[in-house]
Amino acid sequence: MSHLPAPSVPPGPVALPAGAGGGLSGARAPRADAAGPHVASERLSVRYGRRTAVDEVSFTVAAGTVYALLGRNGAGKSSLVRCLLGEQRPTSGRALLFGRPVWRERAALMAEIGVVPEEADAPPGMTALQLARFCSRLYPRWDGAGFEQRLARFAVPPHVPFGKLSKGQKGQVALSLALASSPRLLILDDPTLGFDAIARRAVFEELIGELADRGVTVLLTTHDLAAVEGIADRVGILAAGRLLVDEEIEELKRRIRRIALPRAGAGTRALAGEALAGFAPLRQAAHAWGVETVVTDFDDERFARWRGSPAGRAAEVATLTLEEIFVALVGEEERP
Amino acid sequence: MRGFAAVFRREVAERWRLFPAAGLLSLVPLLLPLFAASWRQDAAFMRSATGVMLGLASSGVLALILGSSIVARDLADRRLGFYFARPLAGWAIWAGKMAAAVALAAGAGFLVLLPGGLAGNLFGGPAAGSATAGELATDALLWTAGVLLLVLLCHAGSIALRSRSPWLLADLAAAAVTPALVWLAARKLVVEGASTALAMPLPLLAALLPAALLAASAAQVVRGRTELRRGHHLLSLVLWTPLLGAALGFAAYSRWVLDVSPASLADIQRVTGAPRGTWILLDGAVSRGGGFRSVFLLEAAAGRFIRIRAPDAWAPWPFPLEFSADGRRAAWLEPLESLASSPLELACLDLSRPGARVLHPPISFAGRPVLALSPDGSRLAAVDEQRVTVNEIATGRLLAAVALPAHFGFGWQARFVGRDRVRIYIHAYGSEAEDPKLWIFELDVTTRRMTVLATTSEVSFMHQVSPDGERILSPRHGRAGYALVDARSGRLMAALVQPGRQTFAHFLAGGGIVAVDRGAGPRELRVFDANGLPVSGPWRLPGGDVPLRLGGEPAAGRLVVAIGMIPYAADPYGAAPYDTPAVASPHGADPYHSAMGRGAWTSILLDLGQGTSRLLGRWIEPLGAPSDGPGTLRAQLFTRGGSGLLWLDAATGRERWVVPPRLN
Repeated sequence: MSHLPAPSVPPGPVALPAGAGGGLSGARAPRADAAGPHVASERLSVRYGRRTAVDEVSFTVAAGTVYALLGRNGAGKSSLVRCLLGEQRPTSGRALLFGRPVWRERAALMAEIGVVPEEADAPPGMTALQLARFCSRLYPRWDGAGFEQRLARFAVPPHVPFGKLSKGQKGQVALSLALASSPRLLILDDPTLGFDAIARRAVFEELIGELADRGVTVLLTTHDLAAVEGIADRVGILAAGRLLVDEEIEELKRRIRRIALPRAGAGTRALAGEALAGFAPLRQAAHAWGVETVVTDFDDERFARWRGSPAGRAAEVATLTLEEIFVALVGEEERP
Repeated sequence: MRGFAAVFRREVAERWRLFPAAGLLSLVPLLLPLFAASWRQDAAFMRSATGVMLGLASSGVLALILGSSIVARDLADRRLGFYFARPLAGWAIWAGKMAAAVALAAGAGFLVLLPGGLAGNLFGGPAAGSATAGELATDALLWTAGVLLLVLLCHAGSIALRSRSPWLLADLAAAAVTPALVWLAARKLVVEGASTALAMPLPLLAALLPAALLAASAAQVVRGRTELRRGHHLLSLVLWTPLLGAALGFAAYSRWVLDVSPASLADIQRVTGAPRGTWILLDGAVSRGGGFRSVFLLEAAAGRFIRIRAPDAWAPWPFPLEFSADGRRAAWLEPLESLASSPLELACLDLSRPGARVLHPPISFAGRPVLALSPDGSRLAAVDEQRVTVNEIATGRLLAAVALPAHFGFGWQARFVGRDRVRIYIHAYGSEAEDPKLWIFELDVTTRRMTVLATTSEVSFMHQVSPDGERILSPRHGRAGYALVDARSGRLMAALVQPGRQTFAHFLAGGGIVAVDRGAGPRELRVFDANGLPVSGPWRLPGGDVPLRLGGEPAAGRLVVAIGMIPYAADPYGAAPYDTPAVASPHGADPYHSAMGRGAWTSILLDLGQGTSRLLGRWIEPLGAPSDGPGTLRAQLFTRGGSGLLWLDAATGRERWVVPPRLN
């Protein structure tokens, strides 16, 4: 397998205008009552000494949408989320929730936000019910009954100390606590990390239910790309602290495609290469049967015209899954 | 407040098991006397004492554990985000956690103390009044404050250690430098006799430590939030910036306080002059640093001066500096570079050589001896409770050392008679039935032998020794008037008595005696020769209802006399209505004139031969004594309005301020 030279990465994300949502929740549109985005990161940077973890990242999450923030380990997702939660002060730039600076107004804003951290951080000695009792004093719209119902659905024992629960159960308790506060915004930092398949599925089903019921805004980081593909409206991809992509997921899938071209003569291949250059090829893999190219600027009309020519007559185009797009964009180069 | 309460309640609830554990521990003081037979005799005391010790230990250990874990462990285990992801203000998280740590540590300690204290009647019986309740409340408050301080210290230390940040090195450096700065600056003030300057800054510094710890701890949680390293940076900055700043400020304050000159003297209390020349010793309180005592050796003509370290403990006494009779050398004692209780070393200055530096010959003393310099300033005699020593100043060589009888007496004086003999005048201790007795010893430095020259019961401990050391002048013991005694034989040479009148007498520089009698009507001043025979007078002076002071003798046969302008009866700050401390004190003016009286003097120059006088000035007070004769600067020194040092040439009337007066 050989690859085309990696395209030069633009300094900012691929910015497209926010449009209609896609995926499973494609019917949902940004909430009309919201004055602005529920989440905004404005040229936000985080540096630890000389190392830059987040590099001038700007994006917004519109009200009522699901935004999936993707990236490899160490890409800067957790630092970005901590800044968005007001737990960490950005080195530069700022984070806004509901249009308000989160560093300054964290305590007030948190009444509107449900948080599921990357690692469950509740005090280990407290049971789920004790945690709920503690939180119920802090949130104005606490849904105690809903919390207990979710615990029952997850089959989490309510009287076992948090520290003695399994990893999956801890995550489910954390999600239940987050949802019981009736938040307008959910921020989930890799909520299913280390979960087994059943626990992971339970969490996402609960999330889908919440989305269907209340249209809550969600900012989610995860490595579970298959699951997120079904619920996210928009996706951001972080690599080495920089936001490579910030785009509607449907637009992303429309734009990034795989074109397969069966083996042909040298002259045909040269012509095909020229034609593919117009689709902004990202990676190319040679097989015995021909060549596969992932392009980042696919266009139906141009492709139809190309297929009409002798060089492109045999070309086939295929859509990619979010995971394939992610790997194509941020996967490491493989040496031939 | 709701957030604070929620955090506090949760932190306490998580550690509720501490209270039953404390309850179990509290049984130990109750049960111990049952097992230890020796404790049964005073079981109540032992129970309360054990209860207090165990309670304090429990509080201390818990403060240590909770202080170092209640925030720092949550941070290190990434669990503090649980709070910060809730609608809880940062201060509520910090205050709730710290208050819980203090409540747990102090509460558990109190619980451990309670049964033993009750059984040992520590909290007072039914008759205990409100004062006991107040004391208990104070003790409880101090206990809690101590726990809080320990919790904060452990919190700061734990954060610094857990963050593994290079800032730890800065912390360690600041933790070493800050107390060192304060210690060195405070020690310097104490050694230099300026411990009064500590009265204001030390409580402030002491209060700053917990305040800075509180602020730093709060900043670490409130602003550092879930970032351990950033929190550590903030903690260090907020803790050390004020502490280090205050320490530097204190060090600068210490330097400023000690950077004083004779012009800084707000209150000149004693002035001693060299027998010749223009060197004087100024002893007084400066205007800064709480008005600490400062002693200066000042060359009045050129204004050159050096400041001499005077330990606080010496404050009530005249500073022990001796001028040689030729006025060429001054010698005194200084504490070594340590606290005031340290050994003293000899310091001396060659007054005849401009630019001479203070020398420290290898002569030191454990106690505080009385000193005398030989007339040429080459030898030093020192008398303390145990011995008389004579050293050669240039080399420090011990020329003679003779023991005194154990617990012999008090009020020692020493005087060289020539270069090789030292006379020592000591009042012996006696029983109440015995008359006090003045013993006069003479040490022959050449033979190193000391003999008893004379004893006398005629004199009191207020005696004066004549400039040549041969005669004693003193109020008569148990009788009216003054006695003049021969120092060689103890023989009464003359009794200066005026029937029905009080007499005060003083040696004149030339060996004569001036005496003032007070009674009904005007005072009378008389002059006697060295044998106590009348020479001139009586000369009439104002009556006993106004203060009177005798100054020095700026010219032969001319004596300065100062007359108070405010009668004793009208001076609310006035001393007892007796005359002129200068008459009684060989060291010049003593400070017991009232503030009002000190300034309110009219000085006249009295011709001792003719009894005539002329006005020297109003509002000026002489600083000399009758023994300051012609050629001594002190006979020409005055203060005006109780402030400053005025050099007034009686012959020409020319004035010059040696130390300018201060406006108060």
